[in-house]
Amino acid sequence: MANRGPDFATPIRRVLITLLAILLVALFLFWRIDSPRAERMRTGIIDRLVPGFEWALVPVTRLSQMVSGFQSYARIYEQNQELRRELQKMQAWKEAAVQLEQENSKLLAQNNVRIDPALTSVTGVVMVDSGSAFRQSVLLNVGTQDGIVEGWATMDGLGLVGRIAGVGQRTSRVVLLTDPSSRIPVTVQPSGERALLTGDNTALPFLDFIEAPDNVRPGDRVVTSGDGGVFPPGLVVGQVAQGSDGRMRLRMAADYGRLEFLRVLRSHPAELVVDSGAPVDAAQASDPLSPGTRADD
Amino acid sequence: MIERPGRQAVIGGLLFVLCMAVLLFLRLLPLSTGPTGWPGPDIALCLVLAWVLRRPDQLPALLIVAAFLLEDVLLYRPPGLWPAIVLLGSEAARLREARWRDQPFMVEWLRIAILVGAMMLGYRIVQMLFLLPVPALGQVILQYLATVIAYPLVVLGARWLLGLRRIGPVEAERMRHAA
Repeated sequence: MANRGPDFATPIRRVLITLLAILLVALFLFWRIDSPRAERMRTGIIDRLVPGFEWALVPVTRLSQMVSGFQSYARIYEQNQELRRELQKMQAWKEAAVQLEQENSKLLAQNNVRIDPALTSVTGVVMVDSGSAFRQSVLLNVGTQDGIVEGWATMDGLGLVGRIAGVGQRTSRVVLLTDPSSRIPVTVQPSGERALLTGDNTALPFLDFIEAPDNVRPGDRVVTSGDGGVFPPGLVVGQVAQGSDGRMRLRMAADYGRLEFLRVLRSHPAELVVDSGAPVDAAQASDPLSPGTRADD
Repeated sequence: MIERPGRQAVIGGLLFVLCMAVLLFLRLLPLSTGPTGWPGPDIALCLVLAWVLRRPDQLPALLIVAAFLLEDVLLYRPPGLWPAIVLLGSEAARLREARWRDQPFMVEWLRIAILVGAMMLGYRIVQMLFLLPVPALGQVILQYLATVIAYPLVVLGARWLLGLRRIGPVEAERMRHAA
């Protein structure tokens, strides 16, 4: 008995530990049963906590970015050469783009197409990489006070990054396309094939439910389809690539390695065309502002 | 003289809180966003188990639970489940601490490997029972291996940086009298 340690396992302690475990399990069950409320509590806590840490987060992030920037000085000469070459190529492309632009505007004028004017954006800075090894999400420093609404699309300069899930007063969470719970309806460009972009925690999310897989080839452009009315249609997502497992996967246009500034697209719910045979509701017809706009929030 | 062990426990507890805060902070830095091919080890879990097996008096269960609950909230995990499992695992280690104390490190490592495996398996089973999205098995196994491999490093690191050592029999005796 001489080397028995201090007696930590008194009966009272055991009861308290059991109580604590039961409390935790109850918390988990509460989350499982009433997920929206629990998630609201979670965003509340994050909202309180994370902006308070910004003073510490920002300098450390800056510093490490500066270090990685410094490392790239080593290759600066080759980079310069490379950039010159690319610039020359770009000149040619620019010429082509200007011509296309002119042609496009001409055609648009002929067709009298109205491009969606409601698509404006709010830019936020990534504060915290709040994914674990198995969840992929980041926190932005914009929230309800900037008018962010759950479900809006988020892009970086190049392509779609994810969807807003969870908005606090000053923060909001973006679930990235690579997250296992992310499902985005997309269209594969030249063939117009519909698919569901499904995250699976790898760098290349896969395209699910392709109706005719033969029409989809590596290199095809993928844009959002706007099905379900969650996302505006036509946002660039990336290119099709064939994974090592033979599945059709997506190489994302967004630069996932450095997510710094993200644009949250203010999309308004698409007006639904329902029951066109029914007589028009008189009140709705007389008020041109009522459908689609939400004056109450 | 009577006050000393109590104060040491408080200092140890504070050190633990500081370590957990630093680990969480490093995890949250937006340096490498996007998916990582290799899910890294769960250093916090290693630290808790190493600490419980060395200085159980410094680490009240409530502190462990609070640290992991905060991690849950910030890292977007189902709240409460992993802390409950860590609580049970650390209590299991705490109860056996006295018996494991005099054995070589390899044996401790093996036992920790089994314990961590049981904890992760339990977590996965509960996730499946409650129809939660389950991470890919391969990645969980990788994380398990990384955690087990990281354990001796965490023990060494804690020893050098924080002076975390086992309680000797003499000290244990003294503490028992003081308690």
